[in-house]
Amino acid sequence: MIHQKQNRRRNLLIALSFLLPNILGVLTFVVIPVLFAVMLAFTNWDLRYHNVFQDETLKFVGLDNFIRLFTEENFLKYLGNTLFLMMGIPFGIAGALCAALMLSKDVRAGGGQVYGWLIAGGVLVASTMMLAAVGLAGTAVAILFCGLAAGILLLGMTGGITIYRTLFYTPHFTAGVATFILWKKLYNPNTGPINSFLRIPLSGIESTVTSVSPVWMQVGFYVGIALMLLLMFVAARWAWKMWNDGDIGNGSAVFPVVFLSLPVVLMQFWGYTSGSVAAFIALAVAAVIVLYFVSKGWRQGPAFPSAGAMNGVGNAIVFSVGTMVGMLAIMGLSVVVFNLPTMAVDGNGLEPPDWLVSYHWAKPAMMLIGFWGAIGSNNMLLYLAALTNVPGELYEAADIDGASGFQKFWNVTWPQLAPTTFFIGVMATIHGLQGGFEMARVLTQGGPAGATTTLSYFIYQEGFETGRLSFSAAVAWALFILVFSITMFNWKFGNRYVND
Amino acid sequence: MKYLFLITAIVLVSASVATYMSLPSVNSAIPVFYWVTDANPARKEQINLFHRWLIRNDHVRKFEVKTLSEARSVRSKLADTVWDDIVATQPETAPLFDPEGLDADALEPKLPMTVRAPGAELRTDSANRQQAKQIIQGVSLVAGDVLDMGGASLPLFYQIGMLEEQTEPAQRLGYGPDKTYSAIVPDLMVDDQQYLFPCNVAVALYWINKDTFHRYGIELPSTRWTIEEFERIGKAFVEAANPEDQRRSVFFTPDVSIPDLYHSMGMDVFNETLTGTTLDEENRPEDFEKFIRAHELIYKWTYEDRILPTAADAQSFDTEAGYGGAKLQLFNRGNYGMVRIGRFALIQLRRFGSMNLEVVEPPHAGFPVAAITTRAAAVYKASSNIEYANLFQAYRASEDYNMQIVHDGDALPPNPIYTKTEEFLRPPEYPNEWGIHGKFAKAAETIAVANATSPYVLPSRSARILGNAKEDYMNGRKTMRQATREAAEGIDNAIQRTLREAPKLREEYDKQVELQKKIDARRANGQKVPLSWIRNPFYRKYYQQMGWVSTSGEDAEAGQ
Repeated sequence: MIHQKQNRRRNLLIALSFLLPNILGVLTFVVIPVLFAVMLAFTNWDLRYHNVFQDETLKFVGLDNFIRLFTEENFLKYLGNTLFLMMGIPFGIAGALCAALMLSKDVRAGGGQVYGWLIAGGVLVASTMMLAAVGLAGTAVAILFCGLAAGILLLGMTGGITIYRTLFYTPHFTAGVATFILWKKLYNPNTGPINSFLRIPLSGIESTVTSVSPVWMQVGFYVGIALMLLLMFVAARWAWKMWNDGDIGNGSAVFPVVFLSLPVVLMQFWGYTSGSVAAFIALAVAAVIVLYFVSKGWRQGPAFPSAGAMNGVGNAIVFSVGTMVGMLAIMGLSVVVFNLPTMAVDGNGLEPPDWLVSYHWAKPAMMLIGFWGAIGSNNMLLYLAALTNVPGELYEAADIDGASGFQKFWNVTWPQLAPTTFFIGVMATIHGLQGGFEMARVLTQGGPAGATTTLSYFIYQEGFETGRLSFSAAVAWALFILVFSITMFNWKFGNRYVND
Repeated sequence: MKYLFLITAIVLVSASVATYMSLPSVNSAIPVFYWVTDANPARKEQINLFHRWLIRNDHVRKFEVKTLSEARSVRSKLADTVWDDIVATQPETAPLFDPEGLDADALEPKLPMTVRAPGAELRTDSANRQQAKQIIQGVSLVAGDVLDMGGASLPLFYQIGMLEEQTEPAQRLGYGPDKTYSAIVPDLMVDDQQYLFPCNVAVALYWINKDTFHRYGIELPSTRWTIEEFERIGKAFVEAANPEDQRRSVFFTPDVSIPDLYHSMGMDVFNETLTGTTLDEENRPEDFEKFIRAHELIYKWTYEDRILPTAADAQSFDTEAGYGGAKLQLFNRGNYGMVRIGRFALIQLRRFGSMNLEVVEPPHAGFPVAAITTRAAAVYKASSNIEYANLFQAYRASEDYNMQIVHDGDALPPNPIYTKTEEFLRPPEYPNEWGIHGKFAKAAETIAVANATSPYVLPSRSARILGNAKEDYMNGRKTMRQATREAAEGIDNAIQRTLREAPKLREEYDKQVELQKKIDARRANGQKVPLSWIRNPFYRKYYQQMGWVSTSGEDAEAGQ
């Protein structure tokens, strides 16, 4: 008995000695710093006045640092920047899913097609070089892009899906800083390939716009707004149907009402549309749509009442936010169409954006980089793995029922991918809130005028450029609370949706 | 498994010991200290000269060598980076420090001998130059011994308290403020105490590529010129240089310094006592308007006259390489007619061959002025080699170091007396530069003004606030009036926040605020002001030039 006890103690000591380096590492670099940071956020630790060379004592300041977050306009501005950049997350997830769906099919082609593509590619490269040689670099770049796409297609046809999977995963394993420098060159306003490419269609649009009557542009604007309202109506009808079928509860149904109305409300305050006849009409039509469905629901009640008020909330949010973004995009495009005649004759005509050096374009430029990175990320791999786990018999059953491709996706694939989507959504939200530091530091240094300063970059600025460690820790903890709350929200409602 | 674990642990411990033993400071018989600076090849020569300077000035460690085995021991105890320096000052030691190996046959007849090695070995550390790293290492007691920094970084390092005060050693070893340009002294001192001594001093003037001007048939500006002349010549230049209906690829100059511009109008962002901003629409309307006008001029030159490149144009040119980025290559190619940069541009310009160069002052709006900056070095307070670090500061006031700067085409040498030498004024290998060097030296002594930094707001913070105001305006988000009001509010808030966080500054701040009120009252009545009341380096110069300084002793006392 004693021998056994000694043996167990000896084994425990050996096990601990194995684990000790890791335990020490986690304690030193994770647990202690985290606890220290909690303490830090409630003190007045400023590196300028509290360090080994100074004799000032540290003071407990309670919630001062947290209160200051809301009196400091920068915090809210940078929080806004962070949230703005996060608007790209749904697109990134959708992109990763699309990539995974495409990459789950084999595309290897027969020899005849490959030779055809090879010859076409050769002709394309030769034409591009000739154009560049005679000074038509912009056109050459445009053709080069097409050539690149064709080349990639050819590679896939010869090498199969492995080639695409490798290519799509490239953003994830290339070094961030190197990639961002490359993007900086791509975004170069005058000489970058993106703008060289954009100049061609813009030049075509410019000549078209200047040759037609501005009335047509106004018509285009109203058609756009009508389309936006049509989308709202279709989405509202779908939401009503989901509520009627019991897929979403009363509480969850609030989200489509709010999110679908938001673009029209925004229209009343946006500088380009506020006070216009179109904005007034849109508001009236939107009100009629909302009232129609709400009153219809009120009068009839659901055909199949939902099990709970918040049932299907995840589905409701994803659906209504997606539609809202679509409505906003249509509204933005309509305004662009309306203003095209003025833009075409002002200054240098229709010019591509200045991207990273423009206050208004710097954030979208960074979102695009994030979107590109998100498509070829671990999310894509997760979706690929999840797709292989969808039981084949479900598709067979759907085929027997005569389901179309979209119906198979919506009723079989999408529900089966729900747990993966939930996990990806949670992780992407966490990364989105914490991210942006590396990109901002390399591409814009947080500018122009703080347009790309995210909270993580703000933490660095406060902590290491001005020495305000306590305030910096408070920002970090505020960020943590935000991440934690959103994750809990996702867990509470998203998880339920996954399990439905 | 546990044996594998044990072996791994032993290998790791052995590797750590081996790494430690290979550290220069462990192996060397002389102390090794570090200079945190950039990875410029010139640093090697400067360090070699320092080692030789130490030996010549008898800051040495002596080794008596009687036998060959003692010779081998000395050789192994001294890093090969100092061998050349010992041989240069003691040629008889050449067989001992032969890079091919100790030359016993040649050495034996010379024994016994005394080897005079430099008292300490200096090495560069270019991996830790970033300010954030220096601060973290500094407060963790592991920073480099000598730290390179610009004058704008001094307030932060001073507040942290990690710099060794240099006033006494500077007087003792001869590198006090009197050994450099008076205009740069505000960048080296805090509260009349010295903390820095320059490695070099830069006055930003405009370099002109005369060939580019001749190519387009444009007259050269005179050394001193106004902003009206700048605009007129600039417009003629870009019109002649850029074909019609094509994107502009030739600009007059890549940038105009906004501080130079508003300084030349007679204002600075901080008031005379550095207690607040002058961007006060109500109390200092003239200064407020001047600040706006300076920005509006930049906007006009950028977007209307197209003399200056837009941010997008500049990014299209950007290659992010070399001293001054790509602008010097573009200047050489003719994309820019002029570039505003210090004398150190020569490090790169000389590589382009014998350019046809000229230098002019920044254009002015009534008060000629040019910005003076420094790359200076401080001594780390927790250094274990403070005395040698101080000697390194002293070395930089010496002829050895200053003449190296003169020959290298770096910025101005720290000690102005070396700008009077023939080698500086007319370098024999570069006749195309004759007449240029003297202009930099003259500007440093006449029109140069150091950047004003307030002790109540960190320079990085105020620079960010002012930069955001400019970008908001240039991006069309705000009018300059609106952006200026917000910048003023931002700076005032930053000052108040500093005072809340550091109550010990309050007493001095209140005193200076009272003084500011007196200054304002005197200026309102057209009375003169004692120079000792003014802390802002720009206003010190401006008041003196305008004849607004009173010399009465009573006046000065009244302010105390």
